[in-house]
Amino acid sequence: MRRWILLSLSTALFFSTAIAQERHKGLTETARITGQVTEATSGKPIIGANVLLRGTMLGAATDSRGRFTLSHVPPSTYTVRVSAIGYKLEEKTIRVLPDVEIDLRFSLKETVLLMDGIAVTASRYQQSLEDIPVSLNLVPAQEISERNITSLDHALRYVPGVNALEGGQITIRGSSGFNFGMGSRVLVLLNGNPFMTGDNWDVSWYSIPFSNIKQIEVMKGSGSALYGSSAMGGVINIITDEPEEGSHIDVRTYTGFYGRPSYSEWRWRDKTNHFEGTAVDLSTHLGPVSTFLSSNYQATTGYRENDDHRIFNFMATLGYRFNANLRFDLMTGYGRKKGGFFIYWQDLQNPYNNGSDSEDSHTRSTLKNTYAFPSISYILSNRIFLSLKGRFRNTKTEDHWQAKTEGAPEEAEAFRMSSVKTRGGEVQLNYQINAQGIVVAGCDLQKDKVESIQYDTCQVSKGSYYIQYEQRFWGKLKATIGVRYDWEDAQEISQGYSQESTLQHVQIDPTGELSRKLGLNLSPMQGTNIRFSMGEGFRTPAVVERFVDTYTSGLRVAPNPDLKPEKSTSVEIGIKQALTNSMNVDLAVFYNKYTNLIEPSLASTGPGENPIVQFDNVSKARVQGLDLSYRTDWWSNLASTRLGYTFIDTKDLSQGEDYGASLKYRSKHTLYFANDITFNPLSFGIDLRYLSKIERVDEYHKVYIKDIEELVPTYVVALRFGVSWEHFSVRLLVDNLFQYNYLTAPANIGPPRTGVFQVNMNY
Amino acid sequence: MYRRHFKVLSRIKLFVFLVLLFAACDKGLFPPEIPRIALNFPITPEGGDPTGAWVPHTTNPVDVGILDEEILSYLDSLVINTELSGEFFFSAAESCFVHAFMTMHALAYPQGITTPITYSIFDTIYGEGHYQVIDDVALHLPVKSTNFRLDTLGFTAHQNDLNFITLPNTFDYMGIMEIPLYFVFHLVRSNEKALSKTESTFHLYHK
Repeated sequence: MRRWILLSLSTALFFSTAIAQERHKGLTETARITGQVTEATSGKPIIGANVLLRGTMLGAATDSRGRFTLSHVPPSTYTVRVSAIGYKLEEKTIRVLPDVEIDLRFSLKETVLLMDGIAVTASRYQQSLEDIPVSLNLVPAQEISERNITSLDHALRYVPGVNALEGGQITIRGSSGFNFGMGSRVLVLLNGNPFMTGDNWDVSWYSIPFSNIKQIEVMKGSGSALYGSSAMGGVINIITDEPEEGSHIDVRTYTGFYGRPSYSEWRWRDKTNHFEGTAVDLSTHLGPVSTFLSSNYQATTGYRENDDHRIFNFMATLGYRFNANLRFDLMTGYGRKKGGFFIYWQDLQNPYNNGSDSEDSHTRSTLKNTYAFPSISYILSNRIFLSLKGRFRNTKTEDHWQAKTEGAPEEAEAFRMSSVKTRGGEVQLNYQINAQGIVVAGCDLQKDKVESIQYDTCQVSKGSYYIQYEQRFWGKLKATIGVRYDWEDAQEISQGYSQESTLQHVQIDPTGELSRKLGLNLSPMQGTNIRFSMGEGFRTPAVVERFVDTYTSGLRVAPNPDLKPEKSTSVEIGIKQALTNSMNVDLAVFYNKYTNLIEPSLASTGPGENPIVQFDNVSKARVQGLDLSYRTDWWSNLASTRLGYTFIDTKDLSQGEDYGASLKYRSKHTLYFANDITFNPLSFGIDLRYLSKIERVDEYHKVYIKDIEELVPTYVVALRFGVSWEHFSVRLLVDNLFQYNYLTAPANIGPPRTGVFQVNMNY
Repeated sequence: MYRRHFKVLSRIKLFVFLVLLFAACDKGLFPPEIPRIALNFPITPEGGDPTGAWVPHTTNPVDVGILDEEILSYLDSLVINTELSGEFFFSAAESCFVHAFMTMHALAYPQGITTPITYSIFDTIYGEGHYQVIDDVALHLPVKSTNFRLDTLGFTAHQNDLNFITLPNTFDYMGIMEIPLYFVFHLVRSNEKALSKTESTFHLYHK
């Protein structure tokens, strides 16, 4: 501990000295750069374009008039880079003199080149996609709206290499199998704040409003060198948008219907299953103050038995810009999901009936999530950027029995309950050490206190230090090197739930993990970008995996405090190539190696005794494959075609009878296709998702889930039709057009044909 | 350059078209076929329309029949008390909800022995989902029952009553003998009072 305090103090001393020096320099003679960004063809202002002085921390986003301002710019020669999604980036070199105001004009041409986006996840600061050494995909807000996405995890179903399974579980390039959402090997962030629950280590998708999303960034490969635990398969960062200048109201409402199941044998309900929702957003951006309020209500009967639920979420953000360099932000929100709990089907004869409920009772579940993320962003000088973030989060899950007779109330006492209080914070400092080099360093502390019926009270304290250095050479090659050290201290304070429990105040030995990364990015010519990356990842066991002590389907699930962290190493080589001005292709070949993978398994307790279920470090594995994305615009951008294909070859390297077999619950081939035609004000789109049949299922799941081996590939075709005017749009969507009976997860049948009618209004 | 562009594009379109075509033809998962069983009811069911909500008859909800005459010849008397509670709901769209509880207490006096042999059976009949009419006279129900196979029932439905006839079931008496028997459930259309438990006692056999 003493070593940590000394290290912290010396780090703080180093940075404070550097900050003081830079601050002194920065406060002397400065200049101001203003300007406007417009579309080259129409001359209309581009809102939200990113303006960056290359080689500095100084940057801004354009307002509703396309204007931007950069204050306190020290005299020097700079390259101003302007970029926006869907437009070709533009650069201008300027010379800044003391006490002079420079006004610039940028006219951006439309393009489809994917490398012209901006992302923050790869290096914890804004970068053009062409500078990033790892595979990173963007899901823009437009896609979320066009597909009537009602849960953000569904928006990820069209990202190459990503699979969103039932229960909100995300897997990237086969990093995870199927574990009912628990113990995610993909880290999900909301504006850079970890959004994983402290007990199950899953994601509370229901509490994230989707109406003010700017983009979702999906970084593939092990990313623990910057983000720590859980970033084994990749990192998903949901970025919210800053309110536009002025006051605005945005209303979205939709209603939809599920078709009848394909076979009369499967019809479990006489009435038509339906869903509906309304979201209202209010935003104000006046001078230095910006506020955003979003409320969202969704209700569904579900298309399966005991799958009905209601979701309410609310988000409020407050931004205050003290001056051009200092800004305070607060994001706070609340989400609640209440309804049925469908885990797996009864059997293939009754796939829409709930197999996880007891004979005479349904499980009703209530999930709550309250969060507050305050942050301060401070540009100390043109070379130093400081960010302070706090995180306060409470989550609670309660399961109650409800008799199956009509009108029966839920039982008052929960039979499963878990609540988590998360408190944490992060300091990050970006230091531009020269015109082509930047250091990103920081530390992160978090404490989770978990109270649960299943494992009483547990506490997990974790902390980390990280540092990354990026340097550009000869203007064409960029190298990245980074390292992060994480430590964790976990303990169970009181006795477990079941009578057999022998755990009492278990103190786990603190664990420490070192993660490293190396990245290279080469742009030998315009339109060509070659990348190489190598990274390490790990995931410390979730509280539920380590301490759970309960019964499920008659089997005892016993704790295992001796679980060790999972680890991964990933290597990737990729190339982005613009084939024409309106067509590009991205190909990546990857190799990931996993050790100490945590999985539930059946364990024997002795002759004649019933086996127990226990999470254990049972397997090591490798996953190799390739990602291919292709995009083209044609007929003067009236139409676009996107194609994503991922091939993974998995191999279980655990000693024993499974050696050499493919990993469980992975699809070897995934293919996404989207085609859009826009002829203002009309738009038409078609989407296709294909996933090949998974090859293996878990022996443990076969014990209690009937027909789990009944597997098929996935073919889902969706149609979109829309009419948009300036303040009003109407959309009609049909999902699963051909009424294909597929699986969203093993023993979970997907929705039948679904129709949605959506209306948007904004002023 | 544009020629190459359209060449790539046309190949992608062709590939996607083929996938779409395949998706349109394939239907994915389908229900497994119900194993065909020989319908051999001890009483001939007449069929009819089972649609509606049904509850046990208030005075005589269950009849029990023993199929082996030889067993009866060893007894002086056999008294059976049955109880049936719950409800049976069948929709026109072939979905059903069945939730019932049956008890049977048997009191048998073997020949020349004054101390009776008693035997009790408790059975929960529960299910929800799709039902199927087989050969116009039998129903295949998505039910689970504890002791007897009650998922395939012959039926005779009239305006206000519905009778279910079970296939012959065998119950094991203390490992000594197997007794083949069947049940006939007598149901009436549901009304507010009929949901309570009903029972009947009858001498099935008396010399």
